[in-house]
Amino acid sequence: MPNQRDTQTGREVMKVIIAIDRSVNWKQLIEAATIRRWHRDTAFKILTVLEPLQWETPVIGTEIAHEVALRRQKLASQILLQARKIIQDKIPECTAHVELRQGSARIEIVNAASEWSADKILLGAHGHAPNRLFAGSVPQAVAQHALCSVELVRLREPSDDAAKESEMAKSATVV
Amino acid sequence: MKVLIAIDDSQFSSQAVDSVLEQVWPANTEFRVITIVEPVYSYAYAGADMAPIYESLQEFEKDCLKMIDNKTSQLKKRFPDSKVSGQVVEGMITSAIVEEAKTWNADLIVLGSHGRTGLKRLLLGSVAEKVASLAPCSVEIVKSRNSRKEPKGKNAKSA
Repeated sequence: MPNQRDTQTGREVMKVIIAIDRSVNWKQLIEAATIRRWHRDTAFKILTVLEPLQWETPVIGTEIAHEVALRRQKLASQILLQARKIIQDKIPECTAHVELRQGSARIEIVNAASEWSADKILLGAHGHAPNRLFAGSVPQAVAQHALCSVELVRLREPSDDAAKESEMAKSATVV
Repeated sequence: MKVLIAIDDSQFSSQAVDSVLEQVWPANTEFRVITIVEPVYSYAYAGADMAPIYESLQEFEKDCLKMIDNKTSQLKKRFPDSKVSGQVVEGMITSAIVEEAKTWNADLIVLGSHGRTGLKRLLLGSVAEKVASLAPCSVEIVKSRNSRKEPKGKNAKSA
């Protein structure tokens, strides 16, 4: 199914998935998206995936486990909504929606891109070793298996934050 | 923003350049197109005539320059206010791309998912994978639009 077309230009609307996690790094990735420029009407899907915890088994299916699962889901939803607000505020000519999936991050991100016919996946990538984008297994798997383009956004080390503050202040311009 | 585009003569590289051309970029974005020529390791032995090899290499480098000129022209036409440069770099493909990204202070490397030696059955070529592993900056791995499947049924939960 072809993507929708921009009503003004006739160009196919670009669909971009921003796959965030629930670590402190999600803001960096969203900010990286907002300092870029995007075609008018670009559609963003802000996606996060809740992977099952090891102890979430029927045997330990207690009320506590259920409560923790609900809290994780609530936190993930809150982060998604915050991320969407940042995108909507800084790139008002584009649309953004959120999606919360459960399962394996590497599989669900690739599936989400395929189901939505995404043009690009933006994914944060960093590692414990310096200059290693692929240190995480999720970026590697997504880059390998996604059918669309994948941009591995190098996340800053904490010490780099001050130097990048000026960039973060810029907002995206829509053409 | 500095965008380094690594190409070869494969269709995947053309798609990578097309992807850059289709996108919009912040003001003052600089583009640099490079292609890598790997060194020829010749083994001298008695009676070996190296002239044809060097001739062939020179022809290949000429072709590379034409390819770079072609791609930089496309970029200049599409982004007339941007600084566009191109260069043929000699070296081993992965390390040459990564080193160029470091010395040029690239913010983003764009490359096709496969190079001329790539196998279409694989979804990610070894060069793309190695560059992504070693790059000092963000990396965009461009895949062919044709490789995308029809969307599956929706079974995701929306928040």
